[in-house]
Formats: sequence, C-alpha cells, structure tokens
Amino acid sequence: MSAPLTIGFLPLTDAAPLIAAVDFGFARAEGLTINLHRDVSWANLRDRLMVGHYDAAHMLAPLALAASLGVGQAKCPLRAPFLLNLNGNGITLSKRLLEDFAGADCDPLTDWMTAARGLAAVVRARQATGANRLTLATVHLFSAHTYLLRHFLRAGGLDADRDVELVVAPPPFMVDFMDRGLIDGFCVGSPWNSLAVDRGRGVLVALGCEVLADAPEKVLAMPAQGRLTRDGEGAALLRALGRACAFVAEPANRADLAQAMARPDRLDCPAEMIARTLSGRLALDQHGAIRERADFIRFTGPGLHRPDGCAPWIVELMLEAGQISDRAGAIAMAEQVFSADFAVAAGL
Amino acid sequence: MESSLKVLLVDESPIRAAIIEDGLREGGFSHVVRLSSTDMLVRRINEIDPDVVLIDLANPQRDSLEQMFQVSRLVRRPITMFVDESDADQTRAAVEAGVSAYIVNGLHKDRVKNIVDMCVTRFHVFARLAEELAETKTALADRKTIDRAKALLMKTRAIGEEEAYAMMRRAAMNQKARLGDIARAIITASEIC
Repeated sequence: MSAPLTIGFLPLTDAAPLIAAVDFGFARAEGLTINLHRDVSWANLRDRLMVGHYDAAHMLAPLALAASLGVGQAKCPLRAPFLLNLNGNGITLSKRLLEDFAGADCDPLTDWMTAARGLAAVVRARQATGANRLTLATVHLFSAHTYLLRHFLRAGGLDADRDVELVVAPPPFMVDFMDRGLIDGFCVGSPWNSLAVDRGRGVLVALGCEVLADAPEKVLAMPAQGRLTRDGEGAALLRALGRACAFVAEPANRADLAQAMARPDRLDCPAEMIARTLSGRLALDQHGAIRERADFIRFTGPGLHRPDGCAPWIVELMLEAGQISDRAGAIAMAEQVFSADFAVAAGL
Repeated sequence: MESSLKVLLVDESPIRAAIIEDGLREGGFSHVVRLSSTDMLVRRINEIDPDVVLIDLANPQRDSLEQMFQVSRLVRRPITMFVDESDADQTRAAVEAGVSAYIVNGLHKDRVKNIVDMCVTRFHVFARLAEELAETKTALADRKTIDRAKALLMKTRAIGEEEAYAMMRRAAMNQKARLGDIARAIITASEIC
C-alpha cells in the first residue's frame, strides 16, 4: 500500500465514481487508499491542485483547459486523463418567471424548444416595458453549463450577452438565490435542479442532453507535474475509476450508492433525490410532470473515459463564447491537457 | 504611511475579519470595506470598486468573483488573482492559511505583497486561537465526564476517589487512549449493563 491519495470534489451527482471508488472497494483493489475532501468552489480545487494539497480533483472539463491556458486567472498547468461522465445538467426557471409564460400563451413543459421560445417572448415583452434584464446563473464561466445556457438562449432567439445578465453562483446556493429573487433561472448539475423542483421553487424546463447531446462534463484533473503523472499510481487510479463508473451505471447498485452519496460529508442531501438523478427519470415540477432520458447522465460507453475526443468540442465552445481568441494555441494546449496516453496505458 | 488603496475583505468569520482589518489599519491601509453576507457578492463589489479583494477560501463564492473579474464589461478595471511565477511561495502560504487575494491589474505587486503577508500571518493567528478554544472546550467536557466516571467507579467498586482515578489512568496508559475517552467508555458501559 502506498501513501494515501487526497482527492477533492464538489457535492454533485457526477462525483459518484470518486465516491464509489472509495466506498465500494475499487481503489483498494488497485492498492490505493484515497482520502476524499469535499470543497466549496472550483477555484479552491484548482488552487489546491496547484499548491499540492490535492493529488487529483473532480473538475469541469472546460476549466481544466482554461486553467492550463491561464485564461482569466493564474496559470495552473493541469492534466485531465479521465473523463468521468457526459451530461447531467438541467435548466430550471423560477415559478415567478413562469407566471409570465402564461401571458405569452406558452406551456414550457411541452419540450425544451418551446420553453426557449417562451423565455424569449417573455424577455422581449419585458424589454418593451423597460423592465430589468432577467438574471440567469450558471456554475462557472468555463463550464458546459455556460455553453448549454447560451445554446438554449440562442435557440429561442436571444443573445446571452445582451438580452439577459449571466452570473455565476455556487450550486448548493442556487435554490436559495432563486427564493430570494436574486436570480430568475439557472443551469446547474445534478442534483440541484431536482432540489428546486422538490421545494416547489422552480420548474425544470430543459435537460442538458436535449440541448447539447453527449456533452463532456467532468474530468479527473491532476497537476501536470504531480505525483500521479510521474509513476504507476496514475494508471491504477484510472483503472479503479473505470470500474467505479461501471458500478455507478448499474441500476441494481443505485440504492446503495445513493445512500453512500447522501452522507453529510458527501452531498448532504436526500438519497432518493440522488437516486432519481442517477436514473434519468426526472420530475419537472411538483405536479407529476416527468421526463425520462437514458442519456440524462452517462458514466459508461465505448471509449467514454478517453478525454481526447472532447478537446476540439471544448475549444470551439470557448471560442464561440468569446472566452479565448487563439484557436491554434488552445488546440495545442488541449491536446496536452486531454491527452489519451494515460487512459490507453490504463487499458481504457 | 497612509495608503489610498481600497481593500475589500470578504470573510464569514466576524472575529477573524476584525483581526485582519485591525492589521490592515496598523499597516496604514485605512480604506477597508468588510463584507460577510452570503448575498450575491457580484452586485456589492461593483458598487464598492476595490483595488484589492481578500477572500476566505471557505467562501463558496470565489467562482462568482472570478467570473465577474473575467467579464470585463461588468467592471471598470480587470482584477486577477495575486499570482505570478515569482510569488509561488507566497501563493502557497496564502492557500495554506486559507485566504486568496485578487488585485487590480497593473497595481504594483510590492505594495500588495505587504497586505497578503499580513493577512496570511493573521489567518494563522486566528487558526491558533480557534484551536486553543476548541482544546479548552474539550478539556472542560472531559473534566465533567471524568468526574462522572470516577463517581461511578467509587460507587460500584466501593473504592476511594484516588483509587478510582488511578484505575482510569492505568487503563488509559495501557490502551494508549485519552483519559476522557476511557471515562466515556465507563459511562457507556454502565448505561448498557
């Protein structure tokens, strides 16, 4: 047994493979001991990777590239050798905002496109009366959530930079901010949309997989020059995570897994809610509307964990959102960050 | 030397914030604004328009802050995290102490260095105080537990106070446990039996 690894995560459904690797023996089977640390922000995960507090961390795929490029904040060269999952996000609008949809003669639960058009109609009506811009939140500037929300707005005919105000809020605070009228809607990962629905604060109008199919979501990130990129432990960890992902995707394990994830030092929310987000059968509102998608959140699939496939996708979306301008430089960096060498070495 | 820099301090712990604000004032930074609310920081910061932002790492709104600094149309002056190659040690010290610093681009690094150094020192001072307080609380709780366990032993074994205490000390030494834990075990056992 080697010295324990310290891995940071945020309380989200897609931390499941990390939690399963620890609680259901996949790390131990590879001779690894892992200490999991729940953190409070992506910025903390990035900084703690940089100073060596964490050997690896749960990370938004686009942020792994942005941090390596040093876009915006301090440059932190990372490697993201393992894609944990695809999809898992959703867009929720506040009950208060949805009252205005009635005026626009629109049922936002019909499908996501109808909801996007309805939102655009509401925004145009507000502009005509000179009302304040709506405020919509995502979880991070460099996230699939941001690109998803931008696509949703554009599909309805809105300009994300002009027609609404985009802000960033911590996922566990989204419902509270909505409650207090600080935000009118948000795009967040599981299980936080379901919390808004269960509390009767919002309605889930779009599943991420409907708006952007098979969107790369979280990666396992590690410092470019760290313990895990130097020796064989990196490959062992990736193998353990590969098995953990297969465990997470198996419906028969869902109840036990959700129990483990619900613990106060993990997600600290009801196990039933976590199990629901793992199942892909989502309640849209409090009145029994349900949408079911097998690809709502995906942890397994042929070659799913190889990160190289997501590099071009992320670069294009970052360019499109105006976050970067040097395509060639970004592609060169993305090839390093999302290199498949490790995944191949681990037999994934 | 009085400095005209406006420092914004975001800290959920009012005691720690006071300790740091004090240090800033001593260092000649009299223009300090403190925020401790869990409201959306973004709107407040636009109004305050600081030159330096110090934020506690336990605050979940660091991502919100960084987004605001990034989206330039929302702020007059871009702010970035206080980091460059030459500051690696200081950055590490700050993260270890639990604080993060952001400065307005172009601001002279040396002036900010003093602020960050002072902040790191004071975060450590606060951590030590908090630790001492926690130890005192545990010691107080232990004392009560030990007294109860001692009384239990005296009653059930019909022995004197000194002998009861010696028994618990021996058990603690043999099992390499804390006296308080042994006392708790005795009380638990008596509740079950």
